[in-house]
Amino acid sequence: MRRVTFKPFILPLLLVICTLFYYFGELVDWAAWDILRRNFFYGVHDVHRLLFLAPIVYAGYTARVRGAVIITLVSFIIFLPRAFFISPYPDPLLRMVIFTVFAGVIGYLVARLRNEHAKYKRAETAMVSQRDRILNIINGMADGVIITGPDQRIRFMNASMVKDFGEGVESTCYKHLHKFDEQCQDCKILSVINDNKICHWECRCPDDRIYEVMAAPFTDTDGTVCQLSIFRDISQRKSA
Amino acid sequence: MNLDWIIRIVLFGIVHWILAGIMLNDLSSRQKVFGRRKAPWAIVILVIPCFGSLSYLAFHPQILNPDQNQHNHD
Repeated sequence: MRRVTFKPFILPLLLVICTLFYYFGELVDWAAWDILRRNFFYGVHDVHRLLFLAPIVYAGYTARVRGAVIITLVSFIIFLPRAFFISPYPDPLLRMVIFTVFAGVIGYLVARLRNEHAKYKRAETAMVSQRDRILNIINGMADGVIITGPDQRIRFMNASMVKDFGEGVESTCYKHLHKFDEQCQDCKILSVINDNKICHWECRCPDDRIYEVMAAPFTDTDGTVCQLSIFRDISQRKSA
Repeated sequence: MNLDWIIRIVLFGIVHWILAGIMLNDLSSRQKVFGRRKAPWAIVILVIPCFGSLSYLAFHPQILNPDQNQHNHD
Protein backbone atom coordinates (compact mmCIF):
# COMPACT_ATOMS: atom_id res chain seq x y z
CA MET A 1 0.00 0.00 0.00
CA ARG A 2 1.34 3.40 -0.94
CA ARG A 3 2.23 5.47 2.10
CA VAL A 4 0.21 8.69 2.33
CA THR A 5 2.42 11.52 3.57
CA PHE A 6 0.81 14.01 5.90
CA LYS A 7 0.20 17.39 4.25
CA PRO A 8 -1.16 19.73 6.93
CA PHE A 9 -2.38 22.37 4.45
CA ILE A 10 -4.77 20.17 2.44
CA LEU A 11 -7.54 19.77 5.03
CA PRO A 12 -7.71 23.48 6.00
CA LEU A 13 -7.67 24.36 2.29
CA LEU A 14 -10.54 21.97 1.56
CA LEU A 15 -12.52 23.32 4.51
CA VAL A 16 -11.98 26.93 3.41
CA ILE A 17 -13.12 26.13 -0.16
CA CYS A 18 -16.22 24.30 1.13
CA THR A 19 -17.03 27.14 3.55
CA LEU A 20 -16.71 29.79 0.84
CA PHE A 21 -19.00 27.74 -1.39
CA TYR A 22 -21.47 27.17 1.46
CA TYR A 23 -21.72 30.87 2.30
CA PHE A 24 -21.16 32.18 -1.23
CA GLY A 25 -24.65 33.73 -1.45
CA GLU A 26 -24.07 35.72 1.75
CA LEU A 27 -20.58 36.67 0.51
CA VAL A 28 -22.06 37.99 -2.77
CA ASP A 29 -24.64 39.99 -0.79
CA TRP A 30 -21.99 41.39 1.55
CA ALA A 31 -19.57 42.35 -1.24
CA ALA A 32 -22.36 43.39 -3.64
CA TRP A 33 -21.01 41.21 -6.47
CA ASP A 34 -24.30 41.33 -8.36
CA ILE A 35 -22.80 39.69 -11.43
CA LEU A 36 -22.18 36.52 -9.39
CA ARG A 37 -25.69 36.40 -7.94
CA ARG A 38 -27.29 33.06 -8.85
CA ASN A 39 -30.44 31.43 -7.45
CA PHE A 40 -28.42 28.28 -6.77
CA PHE A 41 -26.63 30.00 -3.87
CA TYR A 42 -29.90 31.02 -2.16
CA GLY A 43 -31.81 27.71 -2.19
CA VAL A 44 -31.88 24.91 0.37
CA HIS A 45 -28.24 24.18 1.19
CA ASP A 46 -28.53 20.38 1.44
CA VAL A 47 -26.67 19.97 -1.87
CA HIS A 48 -24.02 22.55 -0.94
CA ARG A 49 -23.36 20.66 2.28
CA LEU A 50 -22.50 17.51 0.31
CA LEU A 51 -19.22 19.19 -0.68
CA PHE A 52 -18.08 18.78 2.93
CA LEU A 53 -17.94 15.03 2.34
CA ALA A 54 -14.63 15.66 0.55
CA PRO A 55 -12.65 16.93 3.60
CA ILE A 56 -14.38 14.45 5.93
CA VAL A 57 -13.58 11.43 3.74
CA TYR A 58 -10.05 12.74 3.10
CA ALA A 59 -9.54 13.16 6.85
CA GLY A 60 -10.76 9.61 7.41
CA TYR A 61 -8.32 8.37 4.76
CA THR A 62 -5.24 10.28 5.94
CA ALA A 63 -5.83 11.01 9.61
CA ARG A 64 -7.94 7.94 10.44
CA VAL A 65 -10.79 7.87 12.98
CA ARG A 66 -9.65 10.83 15.06
CA GLY A 67 -9.21 12.98 11.95
CA ALA A 68 -12.66 12.03 10.63
CA VAL A 69 -14.29 12.92 13.97
CA ILE A 70 -12.45 16.26 14.24
CA ILE A 71 -13.22 17.36 10.68
CA THR A 72 -16.87 16.26 11.03
CA LEU A 73 -17.21 18.41 14.16
CA VAL A 74 -15.43 21.34 12.51
CA SER A 75 -17.85 21.03 9.57
CA PHE A 76 -20.73 20.99 12.05
CA ILE A 77 -19.47 24.25 13.56
CA ILE A 78 -19.27 25.74 10.07
CA PHE A 79 -22.91 24.73 9.41
CA LEU A 80 -24.20 26.25 12.65
CA PRO A 81 -24.52 29.97 11.64
CA ARG A 82 -26.72 29.06 8.66
CA ALA A 83 -28.86 26.73 10.76
CA PHE A 84 -29.17 29.24 13.62
CA PHE A 85 -29.53 32.56 11.87
CA ILE A 86 -29.68 32.43 8.06
CA SER A 87 -31.78 29.56 6.67
CA PRO A 88 -35.44 30.52 6.03
CA TYR A 89 -36.35 26.91 5.24
CA PRO A 90 -38.02 24.49 7.70
CA ASP A 91 -35.97 22.45 10.19
CA PRO A 92 -32.50 23.69 9.18
CA LEU A 93 -30.91 22.33 12.35
CA LEU A 94 -32.43 18.87 11.92
CA ARG A 95 -31.30 18.60 8.29
CA MET A 96 -27.82 19.75 9.26
CA VAL A 97 -27.58 17.24 12.13
CA ILE A 98 -28.73 14.38 9.88
CA PHE A 99 -26.11 15.28 7.27
CA THR A 100 -23.38 15.61 9.90
CA VAL A 101 -24.16 12.17 11.34
CA PHE A 102 -24.28 10.67 7.82
CA ALA A 103 -20.97 12.28 6.81
CA GLY A 104 -19.34 11.37 10.12
CA VAL A 105 -20.32 7.71 9.69
CA ILE A 106 -18.88 7.68 6.15
CA GLY A 107 -15.63 9.27 7.38
CA TYR A 108 -15.45 6.77 10.25
CA LEU A 109 -16.00 3.81 7.91
CA VAL A 110 -13.30 5.07 5.53
CA ALA A 111 -10.91 5.40 8.48
CA ARG A 112 -11.76 1.89 9.73
CA LEU A 113 -11.32 0.45 6.27
CA ARG A 114 -7.89 2.05 5.97
CA ASN A 115 -6.91 0.87 9.46
CA GLU A 116 -7.90 -2.68 8.54
CA HIS A 117 -5.95 -2.43 5.28
CA ALA A 118 -2.87 -1.16 7.13
CA LYS A 119 -3.20 -3.97 9.68
CA TYR A 120 -3.52 -6.55 6.88
CA LYS A 121 -0.42 -5.13 5.17
CA ARG A 122 1.58 -5.27 8.42
CA ALA A 123 0.53 -8.89 8.98
CA GLU A 124 1.44 -9.77 5.39
CA THR A 125 4.89 -8.15 5.74
CA ALA A 126 5.49 -10.04 8.99
CA MET A 127 4.42 -13.30 7.35
CA VAL A 128 6.70 -12.75 4.35
CA SER A 129 9.69 -11.94 6.56
CA GLN A 130 9.00 -15.03 8.68
CA ARG A 131 8.72 -17.16 5.53
CA ASP A 132 12.00 -15.73 4.21
CA ARG A 133 13.68 -16.53 7.52
CA ILE A 134 12.48 -20.14 7.42
CA LEU A 135 13.52 -20.46 3.78
CA ASN A 136 16.99 -19.19 4.69
CA ILE A 137 17.23 -21.82 7.42
CA ILE A 138 16.05 -24.58 5.06
CA ASN A 139 18.42 -23.43 2.30
CA GLY A 140 21.30 -23.49 4.78
CA MET A 141 20.69 -27.14 5.71
CA ALA A 142 23.17 -29.78 4.54
CA ASP A 143 20.31 -32.24 3.93
CA GLY A 144 18.12 -31.87 0.88
CA VAL A 145 14.54 -30.69 1.37
CA ILE A 146 11.85 -31.12 -1.28
CA ILE A 147 8.13 -30.38 -1.22
CA THR A 148 6.00 -32.41 -3.62
CA GLY A 149 2.32 -31.80 -4.35
CA PRO A 150 -0.35 -34.51 -4.61
CA ASP A 151 0.08 -34.34 -8.40
CA GLN A 152 3.71 -35.40 -7.76
CA ARG A 153 5.04 -32.13 -9.09
CA ILE A 154 7.90 -30.53 -7.17
CA ARG A 155 6.88 -27.27 -5.50
CA PHE A 156 10.09 -26.45 -3.68
CA MET A 157 13.71 -27.64 -3.56
CA ASN A 158 16.29 -26.29 -1.16
CA ALA A 159 19.81 -25.27 -2.21
CA SER A 160 21.34 -28.65 -1.26
CA MET A 161 18.75 -30.54 -3.32
CA VAL A 162 19.28 -28.22 -6.30
CA LYS A 163 23.03 -28.76 -6.02
CA ASP A 164 22.61 -32.57 -6.09
CA PHE A 165 19.81 -32.89 -8.66
CA GLY A 166 19.57 -29.56 -10.48
CA GLU A 167 16.62 -27.14 -10.49
CA GLY A 168 13.40 -29.12 -10.90
CA VAL A 169 10.51 -27.10 -9.55
CA GLU A 170 7.28 -27.82 -11.51
CA SER A 171 8.62 -31.10 -12.91
CA THR A 172 7.47 -34.46 -11.54
CA CYS A 173 9.53 -36.01 -8.76
CA TYR A 174 9.92 -39.40 -10.46
CA LYS A 175 11.13 -37.75 -13.69
CA HIS A 176 13.50 -35.31 -12.02
CA LEU A 177 14.99 -37.54 -9.31
CA HIS A 178 14.90 -40.98 -10.96
CA LYS A 179 14.52 -40.19 -14.68
CA PHE A 180 11.41 -42.41 -14.79
CA ASP A 181 8.49 -41.73 -17.09
CA GLU A 182 5.93 -42.91 -14.56
CA GLN A 183 5.76 -42.92 -10.82
CA CYS A 184 7.99 -45.23 -8.75
CA GLN A 185 6.54 -48.64 -7.88
CA ASP A 186 7.00 -48.12 -4.17
CA CYS A 187 5.83 -44.46 -4.20
CA LYS A 188 4.69 -43.42 -0.73
CA ILE A 189 3.31 -39.98 -1.51
CA LEU A 190 -0.35 -41.01 -1.32
CA SER A 191 0.23 -42.79 1.94
CA VAL A 192 1.92 -39.67 3.36
CA ILE A 193 -0.71 -37.22 2.10
CA ASN A 194 -3.92 -39.20 2.47
CA ASP A 195 -3.12 -41.21 5.58
CA ASN A 196 -1.17 -38.40 7.25
CA LYS A 197 1.75 -40.76 7.86
CA ILE A 198 5.45 -40.13 8.37
CA CYS A 199 7.37 -42.53 6.13
CA HIS A 200 11.00 -43.47 6.06
CA TRP A 201 12.86 -45.31 3.29
CA GLU A 202 16.05 -45.54 1.32
CA CYS A 203 16.24 -44.24 -2.20
CA ARG A 204 18.80 -45.25 -4.79
CA CYS A 205 19.39 -42.74 -7.57
CA PRO A 206 20.40 -43.52 -11.17
CA ASP A 207 23.98 -42.37 -10.40
CA ASP A 208 24.14 -44.92 -7.51
CA ARG A 209 23.95 -42.40 -4.75
CA ILE A 210 21.87 -43.62 -1.86
CA TYR A 211 19.67 -41.34 0.17
CA GLU A 212 17.87 -41.86 3.43
CA VAL A 213 14.47 -40.19 2.95
CA MET A 214 12.09 -39.03 5.67
CA ALA A 215 8.70 -37.82 4.38
CA ALA A 216 5.91 -36.12 6.29
CA PRO A 217 2.66 -34.37 5.31
CA PHE A 218 2.88 -30.59 4.93
CA THR A 219 0.11 -28.08 4.22
CA ASP A 220 1.27 -25.50 1.66
CA THR A 221 0.24 -21.80 1.69
CA ASP A 222 -2.64 -22.52 -0.74
CA GLY A 223 -4.06 -25.14 1.66
CA THR A 224 -2.96 -28.16 -0.42
CA VAL A 225 -1.60 -31.05 1.59
CA CYS A 226 1.82 -31.92 0.16
CA GLN A 227 4.72 -34.17 1.01
CA LEU A 228 7.78 -32.68 2.70
CA SER A 229 10.79 -34.95 2.23
CA ILE A 230 14.25 -34.70 3.73
CA PHE A 231 17.02 -36.40 1.75
CA ARG A 232 20.24 -37.38 3.57
CA ASP A 233 23.10 -38.72 1.46
CA ILE A 234 24.24 -42.01 3.06
CA SER A 235 26.27 -43.29 0.08
CA GLN A 236 29.59 -43.14 1.98
CA ARG A 237 28.13 -44.85 5.04
CA LYS A 238 26.67 -47.60 2.86
CA SER A 239 29.89 -48.18 0.92
CA ALA A 240 31.87 -48.42 4.18
CA MET B 1 -35.93 30.78 26.46
CA ASN B 2 -37.83 28.53 24.06
CA LEU B 3 -37.10 24.86 23.32
CA ASP B 4 -35.50 25.65 19.98
CA TRP B 5 -32.73 27.68 21.60
CA ILE B 6 -32.21 25.09 24.34
CA ILE B 7 -31.64 22.44 21.64
CA ARG B 8 -29.19 24.74 19.85
CA ILE B 9 -27.22 25.41 23.04
CA VAL B 10 -27.16 21.71 23.96
CA LEU B 11 -25.91 20.77 20.48
CA PHE B 12 -23.26 23.47 20.60
CA GLY B 13 -22.25 22.23 24.06
CA ILE B 14 -21.96 18.62 22.86
CA VAL B 15 -19.70 19.65 19.97
CA HIS B 16 -17.62 21.84 22.29
CA TRP B 17 -17.03 19.09 24.86
CA ILE B 18 -16.21 16.40 22.28
CA LEU B 19 -13.68 18.70 20.57
CA ALA B 20 -12.32 19.87 23.94
CA GLY B 21 -11.87 16.26 25.04
CA ILE B 22 -9.91 15.39 21.89
CA MET B 23 -7.77 18.54 22.11
CA LEU B 24 -7.08 18.18 25.86
CA ASN B 25 -6.11 14.55 25.33
CA ASP B 26 -3.67 15.65 22.63
CA LEU B 27 -2.41 18.54 24.77
CA SER B 28 -1.69 16.26 27.74
CA SER B 29 0.31 13.79 25.65
CA ARG B 30 2.20 16.37 23.57
CA GLN B 31 5.68 17.31 24.78
CA LYS B 32 6.05 20.56 22.83
CA VAL B 33 3.20 23.00 22.30
CA PHE B 34 3.05 26.33 20.55
CA GLY B 35 3.97 28.99 23.11
CA ARG B 36 5.71 26.35 25.27
CA ARG B 37 3.12 26.47 28.09
CA LYS B 38 0.25 24.03 28.23
CA ALA B 39 -1.90 25.72 30.87
CA PRO B 40 -2.98 28.70 28.71
CA TRP B 41 -3.96 26.29 25.93
CA ALA B 42 -6.04 24.22 28.36
CA ILE B 43 -7.82 27.38 29.53
CA VAL B 44 -8.42 28.54 25.93
CA ILE B 45 -9.81 25.12 24.94
CA LEU B 46 -12.12 24.93 27.95
CA VAL B 47 -13.29 28.54 28.23
CA ILE B 48 -13.86 29.50 24.59
CA PRO B 49 -16.52 27.08 23.27
CA CYS B 50 -15.50 25.40 19.99
CA PHE B 51 -13.29 28.26 18.82
CA GLY B 52 -10.71 27.51 21.53
CA SER B 53 -10.43 23.96 20.20
CA LEU B 54 -10.33 25.23 16.62
CA SER B 55 -7.48 27.62 17.41
CA TYR B 56 -5.56 24.79 19.14
CA LEU B 57 -6.14 22.69 16.01
CA ALA B 58 -4.92 25.53 13.78
CA PHE B 59 -1.67 25.84 15.75
CA HIS B 60 -1.14 22.06 16.10
CA PRO B 61 -2.22 20.46 12.80
CA GLN B 62 0.01 17.46 13.60
CA ILE B 63 -2.91 16.16 15.66
CA LEU B 64 -4.30 14.95 12.31
CA ASN B 65 -1.12 13.05 11.48
CA PRO B 66 -1.60 9.41 12.56
CA ASP B 67 2.16 8.68 12.30
CA GLN B 68 2.90 11.54 14.69
CA ASN B 69 0.35 10.19 17.17
CA GLN B 70 2.06 6.81 17.15
CA HIS B 71 5.41 8.36 18.00
CA ASN B 72 4.38 9.72 21.37
CA HIS B 73 4.25 13.38 20.32
CA ASP B 74 7.74 14.86 20.13
